Amino acid sequence: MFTAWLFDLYPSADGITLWFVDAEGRKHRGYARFTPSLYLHLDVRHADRIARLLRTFPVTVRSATKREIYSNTDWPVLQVTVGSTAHFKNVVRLLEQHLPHYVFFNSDIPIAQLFLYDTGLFPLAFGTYELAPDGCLLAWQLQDANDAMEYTFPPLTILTLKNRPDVVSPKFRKNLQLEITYDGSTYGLESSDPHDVLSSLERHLQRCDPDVILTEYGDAVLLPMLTRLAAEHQVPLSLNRDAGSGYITSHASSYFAYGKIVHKDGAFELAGRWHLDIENSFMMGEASLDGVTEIARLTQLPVQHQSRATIGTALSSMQLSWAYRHGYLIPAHKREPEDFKSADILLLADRGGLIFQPEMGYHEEVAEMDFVSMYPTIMVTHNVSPETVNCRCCRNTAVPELGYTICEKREGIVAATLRTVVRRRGIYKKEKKRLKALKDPRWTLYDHRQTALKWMLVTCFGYLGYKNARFGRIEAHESVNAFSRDAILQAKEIAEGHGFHFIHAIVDCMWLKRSGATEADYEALAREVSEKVGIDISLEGIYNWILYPPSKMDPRIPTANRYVGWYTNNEIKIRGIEIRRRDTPVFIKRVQGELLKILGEGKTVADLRGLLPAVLAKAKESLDLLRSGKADPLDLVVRRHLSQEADEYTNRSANAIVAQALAEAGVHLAPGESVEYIIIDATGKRHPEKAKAVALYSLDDGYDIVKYTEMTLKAVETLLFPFGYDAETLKNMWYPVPPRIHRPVARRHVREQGELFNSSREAG
Amino acid sequence: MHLSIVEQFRAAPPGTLYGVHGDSSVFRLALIAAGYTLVQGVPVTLVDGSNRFDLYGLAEFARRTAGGRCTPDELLRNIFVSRAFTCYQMEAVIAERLRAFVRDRKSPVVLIFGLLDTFYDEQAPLRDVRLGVQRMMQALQGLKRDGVSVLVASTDVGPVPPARRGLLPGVMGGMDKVFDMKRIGHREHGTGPSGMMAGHREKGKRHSSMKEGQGENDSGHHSRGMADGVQGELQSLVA
Repeated sequence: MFTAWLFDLYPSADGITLWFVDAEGRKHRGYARFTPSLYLHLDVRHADRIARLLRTFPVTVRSATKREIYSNTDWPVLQVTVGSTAHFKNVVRLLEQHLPHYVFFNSDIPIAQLFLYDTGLFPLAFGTYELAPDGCLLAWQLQDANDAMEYTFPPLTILTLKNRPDVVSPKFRKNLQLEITYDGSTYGLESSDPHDVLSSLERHLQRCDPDVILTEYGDAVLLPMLTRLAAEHQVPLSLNRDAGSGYITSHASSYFAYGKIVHKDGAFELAGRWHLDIENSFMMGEASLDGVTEIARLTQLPVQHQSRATIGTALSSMQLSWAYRHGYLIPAHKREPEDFKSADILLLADRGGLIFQPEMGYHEEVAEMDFVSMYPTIMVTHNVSPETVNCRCCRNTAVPELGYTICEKREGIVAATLRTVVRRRGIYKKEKKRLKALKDPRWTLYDHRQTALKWMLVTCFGYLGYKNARFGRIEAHESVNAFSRDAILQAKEIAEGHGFHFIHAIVDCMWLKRSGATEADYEALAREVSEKVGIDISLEGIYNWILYPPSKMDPRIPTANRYVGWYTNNEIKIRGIEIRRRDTPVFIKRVQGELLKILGEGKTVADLRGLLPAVLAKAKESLDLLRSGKADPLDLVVRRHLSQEADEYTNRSANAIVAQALAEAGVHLAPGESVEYIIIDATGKRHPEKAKAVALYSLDDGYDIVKYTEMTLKAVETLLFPFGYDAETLKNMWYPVPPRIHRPVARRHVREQGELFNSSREAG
Repeated sequence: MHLSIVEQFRAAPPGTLYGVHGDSSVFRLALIAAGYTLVQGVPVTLVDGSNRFDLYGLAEFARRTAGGRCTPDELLRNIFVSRAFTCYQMEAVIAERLRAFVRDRKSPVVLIFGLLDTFYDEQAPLRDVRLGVQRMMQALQGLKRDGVSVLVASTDVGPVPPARRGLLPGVMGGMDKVFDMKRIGHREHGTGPSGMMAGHREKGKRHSSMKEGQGENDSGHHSRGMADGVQGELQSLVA
């Protein structure tokens, strides 16, 4: 018997292999017997047939009753219990060849997750565990709960493994230059002989025996390469703590999401240690290990899997666990179709949140008020869930405009699972604020946790309507939108009733003003709106000024989600304009940032007019530098996503050219992956290459002055258009004559810095 | 050709299965065909697997064509829609819900947009796809027996995974009348679209009223009883 945290788990021949870490950092290995079950919606008369079909497997087949979530009725089913976790997938596969897909339930949940749902255990569960002499888990007593607000963390040894820092990402490099950090020391591993590098790495692994291997591009590049080389050179490599287990890998994929193609690297998970790839983990990037473990505990997804999973997968796991605990059947595929509805109802229902277009230009003394977690709050307070909307047991018209029914007899799966997330985030936010005020460094822990939860809340609404969401339904999605429109309309009426003028609103935020209104006035308004609407709304801040720039496509109309403003507390908020966009070159971001800094000195629109000469002078100074050819090419790097394979492009766009050049250099990039390049001739007239990938760039390539001037002027226009300065006007004012040079060779001093472009620079 | 589809659909005996395939104009064409039924106050049921139902186009059609017989609102209240976003949903709505709904609502006309679109998603195993298509076809035959006319509108452009290229010809082969928008003319009785069932083309026969070479402005059909103004509708909505 020992007290420890459940650290890692994975299916094995024994059932489930378990790793524990105790307070002294000691590792304990054990296993649990686990016999997972799937369910078939078949009559009991089929039991013999199923048993015969599976006669070569250790299974038992018996009739059972389980609850179906939409009808909320008991269904007679056949329970197929598999005696070994190793056979579960094969059993499912065999049955799938003989039975239609719609009879399968609980059949496609990863075994480790099923085990956690079944036992109520969760990653990093702290408690007392009892193992038999052969390591079999006999009993446990948790001093922890997966929804506990405060919990402890085991002492973990972390080893960081990455390619040596370089301006070029490892995906574009072929040589092995490793850097290892642990116990406060960093070691460079570099040799022309892979055998030496691998042997050295193995020594470090043995010495450190890390619990966590933290990598950059470990999934896509590092670990696959290391294991391949280790096999080729016959060097042992103890990446796994469990020497008898293989690596758990999956392939990279490209898929469409929100209209664009996204690339996801494959996974390379370890047995007995965690491999966390910072470059392949959204949550690690957003919320660090604190956020990853917070979500892993809550969702019961093993940590390595959770770190790579989408937020949707995390939400789904909470729902699966809830369904499992409550005895509901979990369908293998989402099948619940949209109810037939008349087109006039569809016209009302098929709309998003409400948007009031802003009045274009600069505004002063504007306040921003945001509903707090509006969509998740709606789902929780109104019990919006796939099985509760238009349920089969109640009749009401709870959903505004649409008249849909919402169940009054049972809490829905979405509401039940989100309730915890909403509550936790609220508490963490408060704690973060309290500790930050006390300058207690622990505030970052709570910030990471609340950030991780924030992403669950941000995603939960979209996931409700996602086609592959296990428990999603379009009517539930429509209902949330209807409630949100109703809420913001109510808020608008209340605000206007108090003399406030509505400037702009987007779904759950509104911008309004009233001459002479104070912070106290807005706080009073927030209290009234919160009370009457039933969703908390908070005062985000009061702006000295806020700008709603014109649309890039049509300067006569504004856009809802592009704005920038300085608050009275000297903080700035930026959305959608160049400085905020990931694809904007650093040079242009810097120019726009400097202009915003100057404009930040103004408190009123009249002040801004007075600052115009300084703004224009600064913009011209930057453009002059650009046009002199002296700008650092690294500041001009453009980042774009590839939409297809290099050889699938039929046009000669910069993306196509760069992808094809990289492919010729032996670097394969999949759709959805990003490329970084410098534009050398956007027209392709002088130089057919148009752009050069950073990895292939040489300083002699120069950059396209005309194109970068145009891009920079557009960023200046964003801020100055309301004052009558568009890009064309500025260009005619400053540069009426085309530049003499188009592709300047970079300056000598840049060339010296330009060792950056040589991946072997540190070797020298 | 387009006029003949609309006209034939209007004049068809109950319980006929129509297939029309081509580019994305098939959806507008099918909606116009249904629009004339709606104008007469007959409920229409639509299953949309391609998210192509153009509400506003239908309302515009009503405004321009109904001639005071019904308002756009009345027309929209009489067409019932279910959208499917996965092949499992498509199969469920057609195989398990459609027939009962049509009976309850006494809707003698069903439109199906993009019957196979969701089945081209390679995340769905081929065995599930085959079963799904089979069940849907059985359901369509059930509708036919109930005297319900069905118009299946599908695009045949765009990439289709090689293993699924036989699905559309298979579905069209189960229809009573098939219109290939890319060809001038159409075939009957289970013949598939051109190029997809080339080996079966000789089994088909040309519809007697259709002539090789008839163009998009099929004025002959128009003069044989198409409602006034339809020519203009088609030019503006289908072209």
